[in-house]
Amino acid sequence: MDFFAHQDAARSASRRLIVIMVLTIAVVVVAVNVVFIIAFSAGHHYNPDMFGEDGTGIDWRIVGWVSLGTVAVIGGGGLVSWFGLRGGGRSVAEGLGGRELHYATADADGRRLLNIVEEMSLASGVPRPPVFLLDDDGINAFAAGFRPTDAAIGVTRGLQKLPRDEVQGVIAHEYSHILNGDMRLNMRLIAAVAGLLAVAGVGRVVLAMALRGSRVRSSKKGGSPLPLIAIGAALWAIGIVGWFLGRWIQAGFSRRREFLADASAVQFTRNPDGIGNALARISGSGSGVTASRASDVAHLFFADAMLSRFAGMFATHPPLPERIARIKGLPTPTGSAASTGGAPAGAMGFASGSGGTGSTRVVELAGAISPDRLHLGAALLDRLPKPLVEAAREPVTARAISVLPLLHRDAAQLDGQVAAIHARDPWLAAEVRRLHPIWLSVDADRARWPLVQLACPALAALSERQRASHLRLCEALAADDGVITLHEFCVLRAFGLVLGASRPSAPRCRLRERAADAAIVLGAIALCAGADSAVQQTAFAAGWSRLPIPGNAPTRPAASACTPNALGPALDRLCGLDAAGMRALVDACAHAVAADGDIQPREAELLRLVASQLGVPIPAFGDG
Amino acid sequence: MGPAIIALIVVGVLALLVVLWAVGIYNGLVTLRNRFKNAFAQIDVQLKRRFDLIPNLVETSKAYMAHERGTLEAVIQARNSAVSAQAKAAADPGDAGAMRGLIAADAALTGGLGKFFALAEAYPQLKADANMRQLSEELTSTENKVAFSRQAYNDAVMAYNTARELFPAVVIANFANFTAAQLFELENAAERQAPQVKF
Repeated sequence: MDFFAHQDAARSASRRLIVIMVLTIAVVVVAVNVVFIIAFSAGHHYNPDMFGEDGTGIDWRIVGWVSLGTVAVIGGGGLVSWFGLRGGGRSVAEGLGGRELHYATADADGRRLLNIVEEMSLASGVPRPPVFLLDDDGINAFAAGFRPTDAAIGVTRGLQKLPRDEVQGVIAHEYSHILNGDMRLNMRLIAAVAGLLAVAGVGRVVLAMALRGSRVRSSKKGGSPLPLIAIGAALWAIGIVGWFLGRWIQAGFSRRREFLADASAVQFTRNPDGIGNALARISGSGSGVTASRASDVAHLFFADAMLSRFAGMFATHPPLPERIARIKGLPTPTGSAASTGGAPAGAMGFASGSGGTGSTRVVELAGAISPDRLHLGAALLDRLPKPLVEAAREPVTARAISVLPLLHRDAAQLDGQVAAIHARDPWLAAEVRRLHPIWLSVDADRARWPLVQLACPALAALSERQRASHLRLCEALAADDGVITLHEFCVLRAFGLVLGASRPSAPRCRLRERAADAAIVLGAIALCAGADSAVQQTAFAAGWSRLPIPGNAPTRPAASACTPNALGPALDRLCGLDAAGMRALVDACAHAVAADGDIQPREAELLRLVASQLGVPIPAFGDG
Repeated sequence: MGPAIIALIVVGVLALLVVLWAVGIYNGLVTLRNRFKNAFAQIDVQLKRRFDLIPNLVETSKAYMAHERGTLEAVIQARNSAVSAQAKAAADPGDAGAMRGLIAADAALTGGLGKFFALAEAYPQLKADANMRQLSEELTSTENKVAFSRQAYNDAVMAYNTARELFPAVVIANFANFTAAQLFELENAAERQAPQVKF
């Protein structure tokens, strides 16, 4: 199974979830109707007209109202929850009362945790997600969000204190959820279960109201309290039924993904002891999370978050001994080195310029982490100049980092740009002046993408107004010379995801239907291959031949058809591709890049941009 | 089964939907409240840096402006009371009283620093001191970071305060004790100016 197969599996699980939800709602509706009918049959001497005229003993009008009401409650509960989740992982973490960790404010444990997350981010190619600390002593963690770009990781204080390799194991487990497309499924589960659980909460309230109301009524005029109590009891029954079904669905879907995430954590770190020991520790000290909303999102967590355990059937996570046993039973980690192809080769990444073979393996590299890549991530972090890394980590200064790749090297043009920044924010201009010489000292092609990844959470922590105004500044800087170069386009698109240029949700599509857009993307990559038209044609043909699109290859789009203005909308539309289409497209781009055996930095950058816009994380390592 | 019962069921379902809606509003308020608290952490860290710089600043200038002991002590005192006000506000950024205390203490410190720098103009040797130059440069930079973080915090507080004052939410906000949060604003236009550091 590669990255794309996991994405596919998560999507088909989502489809199964919809089917099961429809069935569940049907079951709940039937159950509620049965309760109503029994309640009213028992009290039928109060209501002689309860029995319908068709002789079945059922008043179908009542059934209709009861069914409508039940569906309305479930739908309402699900919608309420869904609206709360729209903000992505950050909203979930904030709703749970998470305190965001920043390098500047974190203690030693917090910094170590952030380091682990940064390394894993660089190793996998996803922007570093914001990390939130939950004020709980239990050992637990979660990942939430819809896409890797809006993910958030939450950890409890208890987890933060574990030894480094155990924290790393748990974080690797969470990264598996981010990379395998589990989060989107999880968010849907939250809404689905919240709909069913809503009935439970509401049922309790209404029963209490009905009982109080009946007391008042009977003492006042001695009227019949029975129908009211029956209604209350029926609603309570809805609650019980909905609650059981909800927990059962939640449990069934999440347990399988947990085993997968455990296995991935071992694969990523090649260290079964890390996650294994963390799990063993949980079985000793517990994983409870007390946040009031934790039960809604129980299945997000690393281990069972709810203190009250029910029968194994309702546990959102597999039993700990079984998880530990499975981890121990995984193939010996050293033996798996062979399957990663003598790890360094896989770890070299594709921008290495060390021959074409590295580049064509991009599809295998996507969405997986290996220990070698973790080491490379750490090494890369060490090699980047300290002032740049520190600036990238802080919201106030991360703006300067995002501006650097847009600046000209020519002194006169640079002065113009800094003046433009100065007009908006004099301090930012000074900060840019301070960092620019350091920026010039690094290999921009190698440093740019890692710095983007590191700066993402800091930029996302700005207020909405600040993000919008900063995005306008970036756009103005990119367009100051009248043209948006491909390079500027890549930077703008990469930061646009964080700064809130909302990505239009593309309709689902197959690659076959998007052949024209695929041709634009390949055409743009071909233009980067070299100035020579024959080289460009070779690159385009090499890419196109990898696409499972029937018929002859189209003529290569003219350069004027592959400008950033055309590329942007094409990428937006391609975001709707299914997993197979994305795999083929990324593979085709990789082959186009590698066609002439010589990988230009510009080609590599565009390939990475295409992949990241499609939500396919690819790491950025220039060298071993 | 009379129409009365049907009416009751309809009312019941509507009541349930209202409860669900209320839960949604409540959860939204929790998220917004936590967001501005997280935004305060950004101001907090910059203020801390600023407070850490001041003792060094005073220590360095002591050697040059021994006659201005009163001013220097006033700065240190203002700094110390700002530190304790900050600890109180950081414990619960939602506590409007504590936040006002911090704003006042911070304003007092800014005023004290303003006086100090006005005096320092008269000491050319102090102005030439390398250590002093670096400290005042850092102080200016930190002031700017405070200003920017304050903007982020104020935006988050505005979003929260607006959400809790809108009609249906205000009922839930009062019921569940979502109190209004305090903007981090400078008290008057004169103090809005960060101390001018010219060296």
